[in-house]
Amino acid sequence: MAKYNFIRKPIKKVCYFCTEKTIADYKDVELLKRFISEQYKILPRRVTGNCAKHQRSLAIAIKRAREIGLLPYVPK
Amino acid sequence: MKGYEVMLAINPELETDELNSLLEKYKKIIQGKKGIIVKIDKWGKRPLAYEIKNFQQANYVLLSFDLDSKQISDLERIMRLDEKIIRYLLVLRQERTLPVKEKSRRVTKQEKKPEVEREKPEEEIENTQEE
Repeated sequence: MAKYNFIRKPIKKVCYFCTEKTIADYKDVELLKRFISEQYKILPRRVTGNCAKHQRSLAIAIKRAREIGLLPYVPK
Repeated sequence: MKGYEVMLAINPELETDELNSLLEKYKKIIQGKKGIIVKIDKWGKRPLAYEIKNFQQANYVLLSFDLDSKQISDLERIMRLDEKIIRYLLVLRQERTLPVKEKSRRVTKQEKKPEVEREKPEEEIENTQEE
């Protein structure tokens, strides 16, 4: 599928949370907005450059923020 | 006693008096269960990302407290039955900044076994190059 693209051009990206030494927080909507697409989907790890651990905590934080009404599930 | 925080999305049409009395009510409930209130953070009215119960806005309040874990289910039940709270999210309080553990571990390992670890990779590389 899209596999060969990433072998040819690996973009070196650093995990934001590792450099900031924090974990994702569902209350920090401004930060979470950087990791969602235009259609409010959670961006994959190969795009965000996050490490596995922080991608998981980010996903949980986004889902919590959606549940409490701070982030939308779908665009209007 | 565990640290919890609950984010409450409250009916925006309440007046400030009603809001304060609601928060006082929950303060007393938590204190009645031998809990300690750590912080009450009022976020104020915010637009909701999507419509909840025909509301477009909600009054958000963040309540941080310490409570025994067995009392939590009862607190949740009370919040669920309260009509003024349209949504709630109860979570264990997480620390944002992680303690820097990795660097200290690496330093101690290198100090303890400097010769053994460094010699082995060097030897391996030299062997492959010679071959």
